[in-house]
Parts: sequence; C-alpha cells; structure tokens
Amino acid sequence: MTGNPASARLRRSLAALLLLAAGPGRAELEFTLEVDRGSVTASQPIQLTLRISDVSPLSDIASPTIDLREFIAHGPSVMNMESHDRKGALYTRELQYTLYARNPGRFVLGPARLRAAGEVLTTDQVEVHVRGKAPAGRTREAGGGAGERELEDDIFVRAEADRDTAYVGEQVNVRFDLCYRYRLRGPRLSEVPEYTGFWVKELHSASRLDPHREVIDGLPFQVAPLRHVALFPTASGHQVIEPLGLTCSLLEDPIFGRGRTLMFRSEPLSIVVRPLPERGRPRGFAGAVGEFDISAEASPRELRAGDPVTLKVSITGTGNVQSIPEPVLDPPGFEIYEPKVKVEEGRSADGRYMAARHLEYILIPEGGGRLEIPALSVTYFDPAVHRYRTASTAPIAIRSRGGGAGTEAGGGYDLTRREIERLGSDIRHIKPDVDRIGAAPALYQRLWYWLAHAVLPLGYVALVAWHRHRRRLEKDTGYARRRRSGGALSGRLREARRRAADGDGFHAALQEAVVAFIADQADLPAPGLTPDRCRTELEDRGLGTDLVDRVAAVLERCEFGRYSPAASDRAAREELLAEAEGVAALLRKALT
Amino acid sequence: MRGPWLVAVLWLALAPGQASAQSAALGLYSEGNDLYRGGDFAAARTRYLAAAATGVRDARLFYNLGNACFKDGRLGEAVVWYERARRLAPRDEDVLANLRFLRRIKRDREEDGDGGFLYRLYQWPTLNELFAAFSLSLAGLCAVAGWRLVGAPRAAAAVALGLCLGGILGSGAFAGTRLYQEVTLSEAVVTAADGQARSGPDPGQTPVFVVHEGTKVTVERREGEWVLVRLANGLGGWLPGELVTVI
Repeated sequence: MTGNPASARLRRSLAALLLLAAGPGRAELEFTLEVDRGSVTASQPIQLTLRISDVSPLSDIASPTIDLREFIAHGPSVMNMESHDRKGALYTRELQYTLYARNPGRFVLGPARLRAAGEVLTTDQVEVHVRGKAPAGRTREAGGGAGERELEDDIFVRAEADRDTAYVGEQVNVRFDLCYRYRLRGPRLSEVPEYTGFWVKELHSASRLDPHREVIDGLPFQVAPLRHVALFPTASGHQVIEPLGLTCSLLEDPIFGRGRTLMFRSEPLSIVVRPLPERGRPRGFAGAVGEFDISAEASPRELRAGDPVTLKVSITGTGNVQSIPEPVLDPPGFEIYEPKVKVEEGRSADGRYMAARHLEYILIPEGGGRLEIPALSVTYFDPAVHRYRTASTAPIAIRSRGGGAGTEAGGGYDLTRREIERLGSDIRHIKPDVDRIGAAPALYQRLWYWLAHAVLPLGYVALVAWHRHRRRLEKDTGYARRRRSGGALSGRLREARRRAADGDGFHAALQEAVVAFIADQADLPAPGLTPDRCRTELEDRGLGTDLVDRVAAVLERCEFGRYSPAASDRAAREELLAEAEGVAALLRKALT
Repeated sequence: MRGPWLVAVLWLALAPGQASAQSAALGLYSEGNDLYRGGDFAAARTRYLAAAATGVRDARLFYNLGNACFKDGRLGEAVVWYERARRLAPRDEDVLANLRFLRRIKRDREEDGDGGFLYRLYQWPTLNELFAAFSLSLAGLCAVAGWRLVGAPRAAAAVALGLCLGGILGSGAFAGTRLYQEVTLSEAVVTAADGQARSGPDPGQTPVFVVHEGTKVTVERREGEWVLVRLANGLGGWLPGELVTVI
C-alpha cells in the first residue's frame, strides 16, 4: 500500500462516494475508546482499547495519543484486522494498554486524539473508579457490603521505615516486604523508588521470594522481604520515599494454569528531615552523622632511622564513613606517604548499615630519638543524644635509633652535629642547554645496519674458499705447480732480461723459463723435457699449430744460442726475448 | 641497482630538512630552558611542545617538557612525556626519579610501582643496545666458525659457538619482544583530572571504576570516540578517548 497521504485521501473520498451511491452503509473512519471495567482495586489492571476502523487500509494512519499520567501503562500491543462482507472491506487497528492506577480515586480516561487526513478525531471520555486499599488484614466496607475482603487485603507490598523523623545524614532503614496469602507466579519488580533526596546503601535485594510466616491482624501471611535499604537524607525538609511496585500472576485455574496479572504497590513513606543543630558544631566537622569510633595501631614501635613504620587507622561506625575526611596526620620528624584506603561494609546485629574505613600509612622517621604520633580524632553528630561528639586515639610513642642530635666537644670548640633536616621534595631540575638535539634513528631503522649483516656470511664463505685453496696447495702438487707457474715464469723472464745485455747465460735462462712453465702446466719434470716433448705436450692440450710452432721456434733458437753464443748480438737477443715474452703471454692465457 | 640510488637520493632530499628541523628544535629548546629558569612554566611548555612538534626525538627535550608540564599543573601530561623520555633513555636517573615522584603524589596507587626487579631489568637496555648485542653475537659466531676452520681446539670452539648462539637467540628474542611491545602495545596515561570508566562505549553504560590523572593504562581497542583501557591490576573499562593520551 502506498504511504502517500494525498492518494490516501483520494481513495477515502472515492470510497465515501461509492458508499453514498450504494445507499446507507458504514461510516468512513471510526475512532473509539473502550475499557474492560469501570471499577477496579488498586492492584487490578484496566484494559484500555483504542480502536480505529476504516474502509481504506490504515497503513498511513498515525498513532493516536492519550494522556495516561495517572497510571502505570504497559503497552500498547497493536493488532491489525481486515474483514469483508457484502458492504465491502473493513480495516481495523486495535491498540491495547494495560493500566495500573498510581493512586486510588476517580479518573477520566480520554479523550484520545488521532490525526488523520489533516483532521483531528477524538474519542469519548470514560470514567474509571480505583478503589483504595484498606489497612492490611482488615475488612473493607466496599460495594459488596460489610465484611467482604478485597484482594489487596490478602496481597500487598508493605513499606516500613524505622523512623519518620531524622537528621540530615542520619541513617533511616526502609524495608519493603511482600505479604500474601495466595500462590503467586512470576513476581518481578516493576517500579523501584528513586530515593530522591537520599544517599542510598542497599542492604538486601531479593532475587526470589524467600517467605517466612507472620500473623498480621490475626491472619497468617507469607511475608517475603523484597528490599532493605539504608537511606541517608542529604537535605532537610519533607522527603518522600516513592512506592515500590511488584507485578505477579495470581493462579485462578490450577488445572489449566490460567491466571491474571496484577500489580501491587506499597504506600509512599514520608520522612521529616531536620537540619543539624548549629549550636555546638565543632570546627572540622565534615557532616558525619551516626555513632563512630577510631583506633590506631603502629608497628614497629622501635626501629632504626629511615626504616618504615606502618600506622593502621580504623574508623568504624553505623553511618556513612565515606563522609568522614581522612584524619589530619602530620607528626613532626616523619616523612609520610599517601595512605592505602580500604572500606568494609556490613550490617550490625539489628540489621543497620555499618562500615569500617581502614587507612594504612607508611611513616619514615627522619631522625633518631623519641618520636610521637599524636592523637587522631573524628568529629561526628550523634543523633541518639542530639549533640556533637569527638572520638580520639591515644598518642603513640616511637623510638628511632641511629640518628638524632649529638654533640661533640673538644679543644674549646662547641661543635654540634645534627641530622640534615628535610624541608620538602620536588621533581629534579631540567637538563641544561645542549649543542645538538635529536636522537639518531634506531639501528634497526638504518639500511646499512642490515646490509652489514649480509657481509658476515659472505666473509665466512670467502674464508672457507681460502681454506680449501690452501689445503689443495698442500696436497695436490700439480695444482700447486699450475697455480705458481705464472709467478715463476715472470721471475725467470726477468732473469733472462737481466742477462740479455751481456749475453752470458741468456739463452739457457730463457729456455729454462719457457720449458719450466710448460713442465709446471703439464706437471712433468723439467730436466727431461726436450723441445720435441714440449711440442707433443702442447699439441696434446689442444693448442693451435701456430702457437706450438712459435714455442718450438723459440726453444730451437735458444738451443742454438746456447751452443754458439757469438752468433747472436744484443739486438737479436732482445728480439728473441720479446718473442719469448709474447709466446709466454699466449701460453699463459691458453694453459691457465 | 636502483635501491641504493633511491636511498641516496632520498637521503640527499631529506637531510637538509632534518637539519633545519633540528636547528629549529634546538633554538626552541634553549628558549624553553630560559623561560623555565625564569619561572614561566606555561610559556616554557609551549616552546618545548613546539620543539617536539618538529619531529625531533630527544630524551632531554621530553624530560624538560615533562618538568614544564608538571610545574604548570598538568600531572598527567608530565607522566606522558617522562614515559616518552624513558623509552629513549631507560637508565636516565633524572627521568626515573621524577616518574617515582609523580607516582607518589598522584591519586591512583598503581600496583606496579617501580615495576620490581624483573621489570627494571627488562627496561634496562635500550633497543639500540639490544640490536648491537645481536649483531656482535652474529659476528662472533662467524669468527668462531672461521677459527674452527683454521684449527681451533674442538672443545673451545664448541663453547664459544654455544655462547654466540645463546647471544644471538637471547638478544634477538629480547630485541624482538621489546620492539613488538613498542610498536603494537599502546600504552596511555589519563590526562584529565578524573574519568569514569564504563562497561561499554556509551555514557549510559554502567560505571565500573574511576581513574585519576596520571594513571597509566593499556589501550586495547577503540570504538568511535571511546577507548577500551586496562589497568595494571587487570581491571578494564571504556573511557572517552579525550581523557587519555597515548605514550
């Protein structure tokens, strides 16, 4: 269905026209108010029904309004219905409220208002009569005649205060009990007082009914405690404790388990709160009302200067101990630390709220000698005797050793040595000016730090490789000769160059250099290595013919030069040396 | 090949900015010190805060800022800055002494107090020292392995290797735990006069406890404007976020 009000109005108008055309029929929009009974007792519910009927669907109809301030209202539960007959469709919506009267009396329910299609519809008014409850256990002169008992006479919530007059801050104990003579089902609190104007300590709150038998006005009752609270008025004047409400079902048909839901409310209680007297009010009084005591205990009583003393102070009493300030403790010669505070709460033998506040101080004697923790006191107003009182502890003596004043006299000087007196404590001074500020980034935030960690394993791998190389040099002579052949060749060629100037032994040195290099590479003994054998070894290693021929030519010229040194002049020797060096370079490249 | 170049370019680009920030912070730090010595703690705090806002992290700056906050009547804020200074210089006697002093005067008594021997031991080394110990242990391990290659006695090498491995595992785990704590554990301090923690992140929820200025808490979770905090004794509750400052 659409929610557009204009189209709804149009539909309603069309429906009305059709109905008019069809002759007399049902009204277009009806709004009525009904109650299921006109007279109830305080515990009985009133079922209030607001009914809206229309020939069009009610999807765009707003919720009706009604003033129910005089009642505790549950609901509404909403029910939508649709019916059809020869006149057409009828749409009905019912809103049902369950009402319990807050007070006895005559009340007018309604009119309820409904805004629909730009108009405000109102219902008629209905008067209901809520009959008051007679004092518990007494018969009532009610509609039924003398001697007839109302339900509220047999089931009621009893509220009792231990006093109706109290001083500001004085403890008032209020108990709420359910008194009943029928079987009840599903009791639950539906209304709890807010205790406006009181500081509250709850002493008991029932999670289920735990009744005991009690005779009330000559009749046996089950009495179940519901709540027990200690109230401390915070302001003078006329204070009211609102009712406590309990909803439960009363079993009417035990076979089919049928029952009806009822609500029972206690009577409101009125307390007259008097202000505390101004006369005789001592200095330092902080508002504690009740009866209090204070005790103190220190241990150890003998100790060395600088060792701690534990001072336990307890304030107990039947009153609000939270309203008592911490006792002023400032004994000379002690350093005092903030106390540890613990509060224990409980109930006295007569069920009243009582509490103990334990304070544990640490005191450190600053010097030696006989010290004293002075008397501690608590000032309060005692409502039982209507005057202010003070409870005090006795002073406690502490003997501190190892410090204290001492006098040294001698040589005519009067030298007095004393303990350094501590005057107070404060934070340490600021850091001085600096040339640079700002901490470097943390190591783990730097790239080089992590790169350095990669170097460590690499270094280890290099060490392992070097170690293997050394081991092989020691064990494998062929490998060792090959590895060293390059260096040996360079040395021998240098020797040959040195001899090239005068020619003495030049050819032999040059031949030895080349042959020894080939012997080292082939791991052969150099003395037996002839030029032909050299050629064969080089060819076996796959060297090119050109290079082999050039090596053979160098060796041949060296051989020739050894036996006819006069045949070669210096220039020829230089040329042969250059050729030998070229060949050696090619051999080194080819063999290593 | 692009990595080292990128690092070098970034360093060259950022280095002048860092230098100018440090220079500005140094000037503000000196101004703050002068104002503090003159008794103008509120103005000193402003200068120190401006220095800290440049991004410079320095234990001395944070410590002096804590002092200025305390003298200006901001106990909770002072605890925040002292704790930040302690993270950079965990063995600084001045920082530790002032934290002890504040713990004594604040309203909530914290159970950890000075933290006990184990906690002090845990806080004793800096993160840099822990990472340096890790690196030295690793270098030692490589050196001992090399020593063993070139013929070190088997027993002596085994002992040395064990020590180095222990050093690597111990310092690595220690550094990792501390780093994890600093990065993930969100510690905070109550900076409002007091705050009522509730059972849920809503003003309508049941109050569960009250904390006062200067109390250290651990922030476990955030939800909107609210934070779930836990006290040292295990109590947990939701506080409006503006009441606490993360260390």
